[in-house]
Amino acid sequence: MKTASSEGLVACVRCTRAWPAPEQHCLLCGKALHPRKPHSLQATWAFLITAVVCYFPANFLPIMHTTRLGQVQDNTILGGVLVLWEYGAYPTALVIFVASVIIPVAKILALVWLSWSAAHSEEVPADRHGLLFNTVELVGSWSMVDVFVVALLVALVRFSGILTIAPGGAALAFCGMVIFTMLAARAFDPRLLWDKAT
Amino acid sequence: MTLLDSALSLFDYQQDLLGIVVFTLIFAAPLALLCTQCTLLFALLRRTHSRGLRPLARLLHALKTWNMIEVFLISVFVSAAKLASMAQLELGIAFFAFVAFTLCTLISVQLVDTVQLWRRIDRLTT
Repeated sequence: MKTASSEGLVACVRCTRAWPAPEQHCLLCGKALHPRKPHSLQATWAFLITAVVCYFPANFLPIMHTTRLGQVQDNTILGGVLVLWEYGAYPTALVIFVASVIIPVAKILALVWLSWSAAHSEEVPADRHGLLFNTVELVGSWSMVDVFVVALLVALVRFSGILTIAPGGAALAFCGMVIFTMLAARAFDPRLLWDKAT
Repeated sequence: MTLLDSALSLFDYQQDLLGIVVFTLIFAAPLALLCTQCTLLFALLRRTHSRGLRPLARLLHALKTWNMIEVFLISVFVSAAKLASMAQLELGIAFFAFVAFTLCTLISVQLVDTVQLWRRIDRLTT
């Protein structure tokens, strides 16, 4: 099969223009040109491990403290979903459950699988793996929903003495987890999958 | 409350780092994106020959990743649903402006054709 690298060309990852390989920087937008991102897998693993480290405080610490008539109640992410489900707010509960529980875990697992198969697999179904990577990039920011909800509720709910909501430690950890998985996806070079295409 | 308060109120609870991140994702990045897009489009329409076009297009590329205004829109709906059982909410006029702004931003970002954008800039600056 004829590919850019077999023709001695390198594509710019920013402006998509292809240049002859000796070129070091894109003449159009100035980005450094690499046939494959340098240390791509190493950087991806580093960001992924950081994301996993953030995952534990994000799920076990309270994401917000609700103070109702002097009584403090701590809510975790999963607890918040269960409360919504009990109130009968099924669509909202589902949105939060998908955005803050399923997507982050699925994203981390998908990137682990992609990095592992880019490094160790003999043959990779590049089309399906490419689709998976595109999906990971597409849903990247949607897990931030819960962090923004906490920020909104903190600003909205200030009935002093009756009901106040304060942000908990999990909010920052969760935010960190989302950002680090986004950085991991950015560090990963999907062209590594093409090298092992069947 | 205004939408900006949701980022600023985090500072009242000593969550400064989170406040900065939220402020960047829902306010600074969308604002910068809007300004960058307007300037670029205007320059391309007027066929302005300027060296500044390339840095602007690079900035646009970076901002597309970190603009999370559409995620914030969903968060507004979710928090409204969460609060509806506890208190009565009245929507201000900014809410409708915000929804319109978000939808327009979303569509305009989708419509940017990277290849065509850079090709036009190339033609103008060489």
